[in-house]
Amino acid sequence: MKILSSGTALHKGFSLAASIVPSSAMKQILQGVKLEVTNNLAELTATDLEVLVKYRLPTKACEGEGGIVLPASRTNNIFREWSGNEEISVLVEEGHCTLQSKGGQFKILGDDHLQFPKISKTDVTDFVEIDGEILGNMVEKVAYAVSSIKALSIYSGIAIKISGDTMIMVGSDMNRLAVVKRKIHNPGNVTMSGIAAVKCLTFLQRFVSECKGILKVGIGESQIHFIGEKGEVISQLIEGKYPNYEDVIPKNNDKKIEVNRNELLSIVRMASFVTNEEYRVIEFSLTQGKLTIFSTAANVGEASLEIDAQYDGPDYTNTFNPDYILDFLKASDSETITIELGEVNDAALFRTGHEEINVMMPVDWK
Amino acid sequence: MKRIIMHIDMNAFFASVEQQMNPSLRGKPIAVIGSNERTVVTTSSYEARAYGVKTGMTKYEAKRLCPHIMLVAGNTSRYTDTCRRLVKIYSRYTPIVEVYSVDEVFLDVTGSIPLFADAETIAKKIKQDIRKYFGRLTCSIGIAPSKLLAKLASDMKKPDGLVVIHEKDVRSLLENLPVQELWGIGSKLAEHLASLGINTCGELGRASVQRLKHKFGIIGERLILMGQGIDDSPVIPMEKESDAKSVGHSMTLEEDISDREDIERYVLQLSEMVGRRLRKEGYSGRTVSLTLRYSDFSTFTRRKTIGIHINDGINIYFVALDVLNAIKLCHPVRLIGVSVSNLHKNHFQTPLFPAERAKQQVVYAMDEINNRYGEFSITWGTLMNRYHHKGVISPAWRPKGVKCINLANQMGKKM
Repeated sequence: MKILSSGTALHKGFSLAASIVPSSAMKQILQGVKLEVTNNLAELTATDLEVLVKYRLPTKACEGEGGIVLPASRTNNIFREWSGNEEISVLVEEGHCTLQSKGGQFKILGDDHLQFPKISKTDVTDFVEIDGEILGNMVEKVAYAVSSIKALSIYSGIAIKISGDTMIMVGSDMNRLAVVKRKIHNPGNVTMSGIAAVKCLTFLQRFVSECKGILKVGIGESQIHFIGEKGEVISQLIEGKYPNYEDVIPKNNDKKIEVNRNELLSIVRMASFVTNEEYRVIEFSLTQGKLTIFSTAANVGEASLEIDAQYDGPDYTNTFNPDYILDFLKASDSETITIELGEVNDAALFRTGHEEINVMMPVDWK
Repeated sequence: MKRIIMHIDMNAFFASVEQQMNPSLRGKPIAVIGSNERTVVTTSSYEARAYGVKTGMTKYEAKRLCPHIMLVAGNTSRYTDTCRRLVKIYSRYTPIVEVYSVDEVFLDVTGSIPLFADAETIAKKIKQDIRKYFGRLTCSIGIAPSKLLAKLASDMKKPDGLVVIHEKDVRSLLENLPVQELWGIGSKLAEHLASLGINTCGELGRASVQRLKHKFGIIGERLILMGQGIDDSPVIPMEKESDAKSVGHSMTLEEDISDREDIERYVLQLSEMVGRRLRKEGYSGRTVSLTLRYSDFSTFTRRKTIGIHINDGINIYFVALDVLNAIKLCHPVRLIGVSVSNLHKNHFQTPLFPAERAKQQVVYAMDEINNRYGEFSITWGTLMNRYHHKGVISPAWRPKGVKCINLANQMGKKM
C-alpha cells in the first residue's frame, strides 16, 4: 500500500488525529494513529477509547489496500519537519512504513492495523445539522465552566440538548453554570440529549477548524456522533442525569445593570491582581450610577476600581470569585453584558441577550 | 543585640513517655511502633538503642537485634498532651516559643536574661521543672546565637545534655565539622556538596557564592552562611505562624495491596480524614496530592490542581481518584498518603444546585455527630470497620492549630 500526499495535508491530518492519542495508555497500540487505505481512500483513525476520530486524508495518489498503526508522537514530529514539502510518499509494508520526501527517508516500525480498536456501528440514528464553526464557538462558551474532576462524572461533561430548531449546551462545576443556545437545522424535528465528555468537545473545536462546513450531530443512548465532510468523531456519553439547570437560573433578580464587557473585564482583572490564593475574592458594589470592584489581600494590598453603570436601585454589595467572572467575560464576544443580581445569598446572573448566560453563586465568608 | 536561642530536644520522647506512664517498662528496652502489623519503629528507648535498634526498622528487625524488646503501640494523644504541658513550662521563661515538632522546640530567651541571670540558668531550671513534673523525661538543650547552632548544640550531647556554643568558638567548631551535621543538610545534599569537594562546614563557609548558586540556585548563598554558622531565622511563636500550606494524612497499610478497589477504599478513608481536618480549621484547597509507597519502599507523589476549592472528603477522593487512575501500579502498595494544598481560609463557594447544597449540609451534620461521639462514628458504608489509624499524630498537629508530623515519615530521625 502506498500513498502520495502533500506535506501540509499529511501534517495537518496526522497532527489532528494524534492530538486525541493519550500520552500514556495501557496498550501500546493506543499510542498510535492508524493509517488505512480502502477503495482508494486514505483514512487516519485515533482513539483514547473514549473518543474516536476518523479523518479522510487528502492524497495525490493511492495504491493498493492495507494499513499500519504508526507511533503518534514520533511520526507527527517527522511530518511537522516535512510540512513544507511538496510531496511525501508513505509506503506500508509488512510491519513497517517508509516515509520518503525531499532530502531523505525514514523507516518506521508500526503495529498491525487489524488490532486497532474499532467501532463497527454506533447507536446514533438521528442527526441534525449545524455549522461546525458555530458548534466550536458554543463549546468555547461553556467548556470553561466544566469541572476538571473527571470522577465527578456528570459535572465533568457538557450537557447537550437538541429540541426543535435549538441546540443548548450546558457546563457546570457545581458552583457556576454556563448555558449557550444556538439555532440548528432539524428537518426531522428530533429531540435528543446527552452529556458529552469535555475532551471530545474541545477536540471537536480543533476538528471543525480543520474540517470546515456543516456538521451532522446525533446523540444516541450511549454515544454522540459528529460527521463532517472530511471525517467523523464518535464519543461515549457520560452516564447519569444532568441536574435541571433551568431551576437554578434566577428569574426574579431585581437589580439589573448593563455594562461594557471590555470595561468590566478590565476592572475585574485589575482587581484580581491584588488577590492571592488565600484570598481569591472580589467585592462587587452597586451604587447610584456606578459599579465598584474592591479587592484586598493580606500581605498584598488593596484595589478599588469603578465604571459607570445605569443603576438607580438600592446599594448592593456581594463577594464573588474573580476567576468565575473573568472566565465568562473572556469566553464572551458580546459588546455588552447584562448583570442581574438578587439578595446577598442569591445566585448572580450574567447574560448576553438570552443566548448566553452564566450563573454563579457568591462567596460565603465565615 | 546578640540573640540567645535555645533548642530543646526531648530524648527518646515517645518511648520515655511510655516508660513514664507505665512503670513496668522502665529500665527495659522498648520500641514504640504504630498500631498496625507492619509498622516501623518510631522511637526506641536508650536501653533498646544499646542493642542497635533504630528508628525506621521494622519490628521484626528490632526483635532480631533485641529479642526481649517490648513493643508498645504508639498513643498519639499521650504525646501531644505531654507536648502541650511541656510548652507551658517553656512559656514560664519566655513567650517566644516555636514548637518545631512534637518533641522539639526553639526558645528565644534573649529578653529573659535580665530576669534569670543567664541562658544556662534558664536551661537548668527547665530541666528541673521537667524532672519535677514528668519524672523520667529528659531533654538535650543547646544554647547558641542562632537556631542553626542551637540545634547543632543540642545534638552534641544526648541524652540529658546541655551544650552552649559561644560566638567566639563558632569558627573553630565548624572548621572540621562534616556538613551533614548541620540542620538542613541531608545525605543527598551532602553528596552533592562532596561532589564539589566540600565536606566540612569550614570548606562550605569558604566556597564560592557563584559556584554554589550555579549548582543549587538561590539556596547556594544560604548554604555558605550556614557553613559560617550564620542563621538569622527568627523563632516564630505559635500565634505568629503563617497559615498551613497543606493538610494531609498517610498510613502504612496492614499488608501490601495491589487490588485497586482496596486502594481506592484507603484513599477514601484518607480523603475523609483530610476533609474533616480542613473543615475543622476552616480551610479548603484546590490541589490534591496522592503519595504511594511500593513494597520496595520506592515512594512517589502525583498531584492534580482543580478550578474550585474543596474540603469535603468525597470531592477530595474524586480528585485523588483522578490522580490514581493516571498511575500504572508497578508493585504492591505499602503506604498511601493524601494531602490538600493551595489552601484558602474561611471563605466558601456555595454550591449552585440544591442537591449539592444538601450534600454539603449532610457533611456538616456528619461533622457535628463525629465531634460529639468521636471520629468516624458516622461515615460511609464503604469505610465501616476500617478506621484503625491510631499510630499517627495528626499531620498538622500543633499545641494550637496545625503542623505536619507523621510517625511513618519519621524514619531516620533520631529521637
